[in-house]
Amino acid sequence: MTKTITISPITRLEGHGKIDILLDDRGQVQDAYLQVVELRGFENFCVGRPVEELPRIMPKICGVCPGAHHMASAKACDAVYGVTIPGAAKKLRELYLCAHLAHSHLLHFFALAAPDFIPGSAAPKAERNLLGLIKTAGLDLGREVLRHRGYAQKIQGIIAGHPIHPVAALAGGMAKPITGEERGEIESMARSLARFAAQALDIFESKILVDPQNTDLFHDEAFALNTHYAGLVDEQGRVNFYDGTVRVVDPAGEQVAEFSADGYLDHLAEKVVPWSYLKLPYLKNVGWQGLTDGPASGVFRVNALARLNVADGMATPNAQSAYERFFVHFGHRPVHQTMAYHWARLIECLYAAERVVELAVDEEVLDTHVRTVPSNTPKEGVGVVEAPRGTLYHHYRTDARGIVTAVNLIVATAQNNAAINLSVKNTAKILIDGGEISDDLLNRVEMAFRAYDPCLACATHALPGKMALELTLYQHGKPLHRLRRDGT
Amino acid sequence: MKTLVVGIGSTILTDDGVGVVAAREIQRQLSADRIDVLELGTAGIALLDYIGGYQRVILLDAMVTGAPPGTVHQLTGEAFTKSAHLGSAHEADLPTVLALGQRLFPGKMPHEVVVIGIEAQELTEFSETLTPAVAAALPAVVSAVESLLDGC
Repeated sequence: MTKTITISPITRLEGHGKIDILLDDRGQVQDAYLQVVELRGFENFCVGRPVEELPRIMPKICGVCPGAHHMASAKACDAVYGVTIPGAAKKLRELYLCAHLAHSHLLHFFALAAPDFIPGSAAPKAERNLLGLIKTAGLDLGREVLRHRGYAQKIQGIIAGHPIHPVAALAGGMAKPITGEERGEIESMARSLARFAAQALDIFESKILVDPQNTDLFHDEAFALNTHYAGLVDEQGRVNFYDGTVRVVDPAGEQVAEFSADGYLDHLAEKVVPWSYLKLPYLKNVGWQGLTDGPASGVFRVNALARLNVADGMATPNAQSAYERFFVHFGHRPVHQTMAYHWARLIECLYAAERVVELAVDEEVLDTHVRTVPSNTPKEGVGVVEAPRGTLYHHYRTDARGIVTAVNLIVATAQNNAAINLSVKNTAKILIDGGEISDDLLNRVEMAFRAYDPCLACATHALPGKMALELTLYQHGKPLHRLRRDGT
Repeated sequence: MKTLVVGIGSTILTDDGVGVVAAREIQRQLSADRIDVLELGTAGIALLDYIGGYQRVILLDAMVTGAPPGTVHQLTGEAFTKSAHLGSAHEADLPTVLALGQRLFPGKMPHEVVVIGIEAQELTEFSETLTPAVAAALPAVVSAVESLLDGC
């Protein structure tokens, strides 16, 4: 007879997911599953619309990373029409996406990740948030977080027409150029953002990483997963969020594939499992061996750690130094420690800010030729970008009039789904002994989940909400304990 | 002093977008001398970019409490947590955002934050159309906002 621990949202509005942890008779962890609730009708909602509407609609499927969907959708539309966008448009889109990632990574670190370390996972629940962080680290830090979050959002607004509801990217390029004044404003904010990103990285390296309390999290084999990794790289093999080829490395770091967006179906397959509406993408050429890691398993990971693991380096100077420190610290590549996602995210945040500066001072971004009007007959296209949470694929088919006939999205959290299940299971195995659970334990299990910065919103084509969690321990099918945690 | 009205939610998930639809209706019907109107996907930290300098902020959002669809709720304080989008898994919920604002920007935060929640019927199907019961609640939402404005 097994027991079941369920970590689930209070309502389906609040995150569309739950985690079930199954215990055996001795109270030891037998298995763990992340389950999500399906929302209906997404494909039907898109089919029948003019394809050029999708870059406007797609951002609305997720209030967390609308910018990434906006860009992937615009790229898919470019491909549907077989149009090459002007150089200025490409740079503006990349600049926008870098600001989007800097925004997301900064918020994730300070609002969600850092409070698990400062004040710490054992601190009272009410203090494990941004408020607790500034209570410990000071109000000035809080003001700087908010100021730079605002900068990253404002840059997105300048490029895309609105800071939250992007509209400017469309088939063939951008709807508008930027002015010299706007360029100056972007550059000034991005320079400040780069300085603050370096400061955030320093907080991580000088306080969190060296804290003896965190040593096991960052170094113990039990908190590692030996998976494959995938992410976009540019022509020199460096991390790039907007464009390039998807590179895949195996758990030993050997490159096993590199493909362009339209080849994704040759490399990725999706496993349907009876316990989840969220499919489990895996590497087709390696194969599905079940929920397991190792070189023979097609389970792979995306998001910041994966991007660093597949790339040969970073394209900006300070981020490159940080990248080198990262791999020197661990002494090997790829890095399999799940908590290293937090460090990788900050390195990427620095890269994103530096890259915005580079693009802002590039004279071409002021070119007013930002759109090539599509003239080919539309048919089919795939757009790929790196969203904050990992590689994002949009695949559209249309009829000859450009009316959508099919849509397929493969989002980042879905690609990490199998690994999240494994990490939660492994962490629970370490922490749950004899079926005893506590609030601290719940938080530590969540930390494994949180390292991936999962977003169940677009993973199920749903909306974001709080991932309020409820952990229930079952014995013989009946609940013994229930712990509730609100979604922040 | 103007009031800021914020519509929250997504307009492509049936009733989830009722807060945004209601905000647009309010913008259409009420004088711009009295209110500013804003649309947001969630009321996370981004809210702090906009609410500074307003005496009062009214947030409109879809809500599920078990009441009949279209029921209009008016909430303050602890009741914030019942709303669908007054927070984000990737940032902070509304009480945290407001507390953060008070700590970091004392003197600039609104004196009053009111949440008007509209009981939703359908939140799991993609559609740009509200269900009839929820659409029928729009005049009551406008009235509720007007009452708040007239009460000052």
